[in-house]
Amino acid sequence: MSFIRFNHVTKDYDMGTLKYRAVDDISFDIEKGEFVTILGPSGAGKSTLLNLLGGLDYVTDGSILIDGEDITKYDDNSLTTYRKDTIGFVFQFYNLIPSLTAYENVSLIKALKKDTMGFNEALKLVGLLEHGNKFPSQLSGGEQQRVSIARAICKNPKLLLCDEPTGALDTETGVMILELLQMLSRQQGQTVIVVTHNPHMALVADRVIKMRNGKISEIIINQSPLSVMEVTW
Amino acid sequence: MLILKMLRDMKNHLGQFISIFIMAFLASFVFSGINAEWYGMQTEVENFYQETNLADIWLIASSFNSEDESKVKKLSGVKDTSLRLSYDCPLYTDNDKVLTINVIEENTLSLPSVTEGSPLNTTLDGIWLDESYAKTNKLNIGDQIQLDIPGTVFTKEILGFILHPEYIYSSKDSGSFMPDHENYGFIFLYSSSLPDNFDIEYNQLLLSLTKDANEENLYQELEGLFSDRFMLIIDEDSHLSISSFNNEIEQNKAMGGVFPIVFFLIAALTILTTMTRMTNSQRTQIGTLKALGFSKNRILIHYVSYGIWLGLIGGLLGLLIGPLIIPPILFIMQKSIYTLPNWSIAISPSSFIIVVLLAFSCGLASYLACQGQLKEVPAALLRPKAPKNKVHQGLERSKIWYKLSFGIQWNLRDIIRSRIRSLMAIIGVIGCTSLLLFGLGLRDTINKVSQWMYEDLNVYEDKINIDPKASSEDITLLTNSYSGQLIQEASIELKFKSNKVNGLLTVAEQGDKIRFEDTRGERISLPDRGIGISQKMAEQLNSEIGDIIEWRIYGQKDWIESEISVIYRTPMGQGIAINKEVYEETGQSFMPSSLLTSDIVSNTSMKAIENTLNKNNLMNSFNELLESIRMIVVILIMGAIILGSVVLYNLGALSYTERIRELATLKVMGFHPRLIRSLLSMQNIWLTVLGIIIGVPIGFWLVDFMLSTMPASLDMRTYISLESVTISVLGTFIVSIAVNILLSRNIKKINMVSALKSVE
Ligand SMILES: Nc1ncnc2c1ncn2[C@@H]1O[C@H](COP(=O)(O)OP(=O)(O)OP(=O)(O)O)[C@@H](O)[C@H]1O
Ligand SMILES: [Mg+2]
Repeated sequence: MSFIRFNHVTKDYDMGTLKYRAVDDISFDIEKGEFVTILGPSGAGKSTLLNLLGGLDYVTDGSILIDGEDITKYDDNSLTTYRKDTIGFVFQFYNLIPSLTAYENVSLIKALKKDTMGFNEALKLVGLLEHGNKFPSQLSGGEQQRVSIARAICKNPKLLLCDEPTGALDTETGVMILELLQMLSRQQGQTVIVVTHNPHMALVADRVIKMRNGKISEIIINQSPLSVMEVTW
Repeated sequence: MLILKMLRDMKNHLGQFISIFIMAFLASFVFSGINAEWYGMQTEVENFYQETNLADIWLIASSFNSEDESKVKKLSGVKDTSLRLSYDCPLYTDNDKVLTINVIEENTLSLPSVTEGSPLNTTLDGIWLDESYAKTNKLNIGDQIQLDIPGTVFTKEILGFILHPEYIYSSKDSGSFMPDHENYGFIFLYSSSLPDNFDIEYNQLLLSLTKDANEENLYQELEGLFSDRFMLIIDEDSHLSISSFNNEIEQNKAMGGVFPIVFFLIAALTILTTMTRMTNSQRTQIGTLKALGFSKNRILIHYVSYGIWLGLIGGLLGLLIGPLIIPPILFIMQKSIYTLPNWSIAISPSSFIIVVLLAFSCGLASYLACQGQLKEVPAALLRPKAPKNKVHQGLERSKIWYKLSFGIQWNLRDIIRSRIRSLMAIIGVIGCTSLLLFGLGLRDTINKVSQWMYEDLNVYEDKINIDPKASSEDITLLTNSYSGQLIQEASIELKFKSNKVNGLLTVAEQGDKIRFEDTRGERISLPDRGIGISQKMAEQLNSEIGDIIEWRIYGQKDWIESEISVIYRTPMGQGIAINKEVYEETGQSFMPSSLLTSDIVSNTSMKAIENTLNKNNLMNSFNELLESIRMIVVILIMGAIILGSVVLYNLGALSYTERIRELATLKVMGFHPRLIRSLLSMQNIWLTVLGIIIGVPIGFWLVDFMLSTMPASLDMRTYISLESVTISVLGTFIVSIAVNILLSRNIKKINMVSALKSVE
């Protein structure tokens, strides 16, 4: 059985009398350690899909199995635990706490769980060990996103979810972030799912899920993905 | 168009703007309410004084004749004079009731004002009676009243009811707080209605002064004129009724000035934080407005007008409602102490000034909040603002910092980052605790004084006042029937260096019915050498132990010199106390005025007995005062709770909205709502604790301050029971926790998906 299995998942948004179907009867699998990108035009339902997977929202229909466990059956409490233990989130706008330093932003995880990666180790992994004492406002956008990634991976999540992690960055910095994510997947065996607009991402992912109008238009399994460095962005 | 924007902004920040409004309202409500009370009383009393042509100076001696009067009239500065005979006289039918009889002729000064019955008229035979006494004793016009005047008993008809400007505070002696209208009153009658054989000797000469009178000169001339007899000169400051009422007004003035300050401060600070936050979030809008061609001043005026409107509308509403609500409540208490023809509300000009001041300071706060924003060029404003850089230093470099939990780090940084907000929360808590403590402490203090006075110092049950005419055999008869302690009380004058004041003399024989306590509250006995002086009296004279002061009983010529051996404290009746033996050593003879006893007084018809005062009756008048203070305590407690909850709720909501993105992020990361709630309330608890720590001493200080405005004859110490302190502290905590619970309900509603969306 696959690590992640979407089984006829549907998500409707209630808008008064109308219902808007953002995700429409979607099924797919993802294997452990894969580097996956979800591609599609704006409004295709990519974020909705990711949020369902991340336990931020409830499905209308269908089931999502993680390691065989159906998370759509979870209540609020178990979902919180699921997010805490299983999921690492990387946000488009970093969402660092401005009043805490880079190190503190990462180390706040200790308030959450015990079995974490070393905080300095996490910062080292994203190449920011020297910047630990800086506040977010003293860091560049790319650096802030790297702190955000360090914060997400230091709790040893089974699954790293990134919703347009490069959306607020220039191309060059964006490439560095993608490189980092790919490295995490390749070297640490981390399962990474990245939502993006960028079609070039199709070349570097192990699996590409293309969406349109709430449906999957195509799934590509990349037998020989390129490394981020090799692609001309 | 900008007005529409303002209204919409206010709607978006409804919580904050409502609390600014409430604080502005409360500041003006309390200020103008209390103001309207004392200003109304002042206006009324001044009218009353004018209407009744109140004298300016009272000369008191054993006798004045019309020759004396005409001599005084000729002095420069004297406008008018009147003679009056005034003395206390027990009611023939009930010796416990005392009436002050005022015999007048065709007088022009200090006339009573008739409220019911026949107007004043020399040709009428009868008396005009104190309205309060008549009402409490259910007497009617036309009733007969029997008076026991020296030599005869005479019966007169009640012609009418009166009020009098010298009896606004109508108390037989300064020893009791509350007037006792049941047992004490006054009457006025014309000399023509006295029995023919009654030989009138006037003992008061009333004077009114011209505007340009030189009082100092006049006093000297008066003393010269009457150097042949002992004479007392009383002016407004030493007149019991007039000075008590003036003191009351001063006290209310002080109260009205202090309390609104808290609300005032909170209103201005809330505006400062809210406007800073709002203009911060509207940087793009400001840039757009600038780009559209709005001048800097135009935009500035736009934002400043938020504050002005709130201050103005809140202030005006307070000005309208405060005078309608607060004075009637305070008047309940005032009416139980003072008798005035009318109790009206008058809005003083200073209330309007306060509203203007409120609008101005709210405007200023908005100005300070947004002027910084406007300095930047439009292009810079259109970019999102980088949060303020904060250097990583001090404590944060230390090892301990890294040991602290994330919650502590987060909250400490947040407090430091939003100093004004934290300061406001602390001020709000301080206000809440100190107002609670003030209200409860006021109650405790008065309770304690009652206990101090009637349980610790005066341990008798009845005070039998001895008839001054009683012979020593009569007194022996009395002391044989009732065991107890004889004391002599008299009014005296005291002199030390250049200070001269009036006070009370207490001479006590051996016994323990009347007790004395030193300044530390330890029981002491009167010294075998020298005299004891009450602390307040010692302060007034600026004298210390070892000093030699001079004193004499009213009516005596010679001054007596005595050395101060101890200083004692007593709540009422400041003066000196002397052991009987020491007193007799000074050459005076001991003439007991009262017998203090714990026996049951059954036979009140003994010759020596003038009347008896039961201690419980005295205590009751105190309890009445307590009763009337209860209302004020309730108001203070309500004010404290409104203040605390509005401020804390508003700030909590502010901090919540400011950190909502951080909270959503935490939630996405898997923080349990319970954990987030405790993170959020941590800060609230810290600030509450800090505020309470500062608030408790301030509460004590407020009671001290209030007591310091009391008249000099009262010596009260601030006493706040542990219970009251506990209630105040717990009460503040409960308010804080309740607000926290209310706020934390929002945490569940945080939409995690919003954390993933863009910043604006
Ligand atoms: N809370 C909501 N209520 C109603 N409709 C919503 C809600 N959230 C999203 N939608 C709709 O669902 C559809 C899918 O939204 P989603 O955010 O998943 O798109 P997306 O693929 O992530 O787009 P983008 O690339 O622009 O981020 C959109 O048409 C959107 O309008
Ligand atoms: Mg999206």
